[in-house]
Amino acid sequence: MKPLIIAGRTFRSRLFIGTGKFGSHAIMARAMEASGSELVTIALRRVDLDAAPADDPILTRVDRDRWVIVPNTSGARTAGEAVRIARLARAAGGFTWVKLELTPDLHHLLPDPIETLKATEILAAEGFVVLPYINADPVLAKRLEEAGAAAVMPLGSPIGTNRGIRTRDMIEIIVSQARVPVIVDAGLGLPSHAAEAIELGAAAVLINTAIATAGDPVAMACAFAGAVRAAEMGIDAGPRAASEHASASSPLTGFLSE
Amino acid sequence: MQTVLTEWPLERVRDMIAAATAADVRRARAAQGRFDPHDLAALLSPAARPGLEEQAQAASDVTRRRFGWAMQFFAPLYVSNYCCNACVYCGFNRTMDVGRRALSLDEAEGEADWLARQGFEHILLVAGEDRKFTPPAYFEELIRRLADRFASIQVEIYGLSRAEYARLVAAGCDGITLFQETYDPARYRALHPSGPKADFADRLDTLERAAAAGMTFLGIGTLLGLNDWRTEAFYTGLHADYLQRAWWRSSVAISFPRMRPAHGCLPPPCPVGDADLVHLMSALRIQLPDVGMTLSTREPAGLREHFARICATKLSAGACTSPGGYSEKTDAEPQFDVADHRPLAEVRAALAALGFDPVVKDWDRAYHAAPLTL
Amino acid sequence: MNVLVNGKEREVDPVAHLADLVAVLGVDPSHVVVECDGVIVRREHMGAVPVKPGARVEIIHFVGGG
Repeated sequence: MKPLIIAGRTFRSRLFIGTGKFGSHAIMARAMEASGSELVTIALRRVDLDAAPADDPILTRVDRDRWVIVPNTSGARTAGEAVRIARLARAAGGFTWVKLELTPDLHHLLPDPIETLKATEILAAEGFVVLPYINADPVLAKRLEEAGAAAVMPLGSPIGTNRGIRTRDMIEIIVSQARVPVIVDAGLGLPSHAAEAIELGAAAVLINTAIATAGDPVAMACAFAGAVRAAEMGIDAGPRAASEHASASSPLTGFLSE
Repeated sequence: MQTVLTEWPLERVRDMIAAATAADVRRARAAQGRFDPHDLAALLSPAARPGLEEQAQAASDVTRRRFGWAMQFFAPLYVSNYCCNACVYCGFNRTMDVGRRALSLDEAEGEADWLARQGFEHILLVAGEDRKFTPPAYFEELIRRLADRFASIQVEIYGLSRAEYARLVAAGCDGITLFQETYDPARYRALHPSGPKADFADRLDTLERAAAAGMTFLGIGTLLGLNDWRTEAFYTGLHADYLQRAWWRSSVAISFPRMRPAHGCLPPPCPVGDADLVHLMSALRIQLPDVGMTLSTREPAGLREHFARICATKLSAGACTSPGGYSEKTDAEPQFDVADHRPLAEVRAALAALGFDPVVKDWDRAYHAAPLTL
Repeated sequence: MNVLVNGKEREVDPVAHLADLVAVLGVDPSHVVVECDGVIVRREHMGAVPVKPGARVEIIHFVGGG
């Protein structure tokens, strides 16, 4: 497979991992380690001033030399809100990578394409490495490329549903037309789904819910890592595609011997 | 595109094609839809030749699914054969002492009217490179005049700047054909000893300027016979895939001109036989389901019908390759000798008899990006 | 004095600047980012930014997310 390079940074693992929904930071850290991943997403939230002060800030668990840390803009419903969150993250920790997650639809958490495009234009111009989360819309993917997105992240199925890849045909088109890496994000529930994404031509996958909410998140992180690696190895081994009989019709090259 | 060429140097491409096995070919023929240089190399390789009929059938399947039975027709309109380049393979080579002619705007309009009366709706303006006789403003004015008579006007002329292309687009031009002739820079240097066209990198960049200026239709190709057809077809495939990704709002087509006798010009150093042409066109079709494929009247009657059944989607007809030749007899030197002299109506009938729908109009002014006064 | 912190009105003892406010609220400044009236305030400047009555303050930190 082509090496995975985003904004000049080469990744050896095609599994990216999210940090939400874990039972504890300790389990989260062990699952991250087990995944072999090199890119992790985090979020920003208001501090809960009525709760006891957090004694285990998430960033103390994430070694900045080992991980590319990508704050997401979850909670944003407009481009303005997303841009604000990205700038806050940069001010807070010097993070210049951002995952645009613009989901005004709180029921299905589906991304708003128009606000996502607007936010990409603004943030790319400000020097952010922008990774927009989108529905699997091939035209939108090209528009985001033009706007300066460093990759595109089409969903497999809605966030947290674990349904796997329900957008297969569209992802195939996105892959065939893309000039930036395609990362399938959201809805991947089983290791086989992750393998399927890689075999479809995605450069990487982002997994959160399936690992964090598994009975044994650490083992599940290993399983996903194995699946992604297996898919990659299979592609590099040069698989023979299923054959299809061409429909018989009258000879087309008979004239060559005339 | 230069980056793409750098990633695929000639030695690497030659080795890949030569090393392809029958198993590689089988896999490439079965692969669906995703462009892959390794598969393209396999389809172009000698290992693919024994199963040529199967490859042609696969190409035909893909073409039918994507294009149906439509066969698109167009006519070239040569407006001038003055040229400041010295391309060794071309009848317009400036070092040759031949009859030269540049049509006035009125004369060109007259030629175009003749073509419109034959039934053509798609027209391709062609000229040698001469900014004195046919400056960009000439084409701009001619396009403006013809915009109400043709559904689509494209140009196959010398390289312009992006701003100049933008003016043509605003005047009503929607497409450009520009052959790289050969993707081998060393060969290119030898074939183009002087004139602006001698610059290989600039030639490669020209199409991008046109696309950036808003041209919808982008036509590419090499002159078959100048160099090893396998590597040239490989690079043409890379170029088409690159253009489809980089200029995703545009539509890409490949032409397959085979060197024909032209007065005083070199005979083809690497002749491409009919089986070779089937081989390379079917390989490209399987890898690039969406590109148009054009065969001009360089090819004889009968042969063009065979290729239509396989994977060609666009044909010229009743063509004349010297300026002024439609409405009157002319002494002006033609660019090449035409082999299929049948008029449009006859070629349409021949294609219809094979089950094709011979289409003269497949575009419309109304789709044009630039606003026109209605 | 009344300030708006994280969207809620709070009655706090008068404070001179943001660093004081954050301390009074029991927040460790090293793991948060603070916005005052829509402007992001860098940690090193928090001792210099005054807090007036009615100021809109956001105190934000990183958490897990997908």
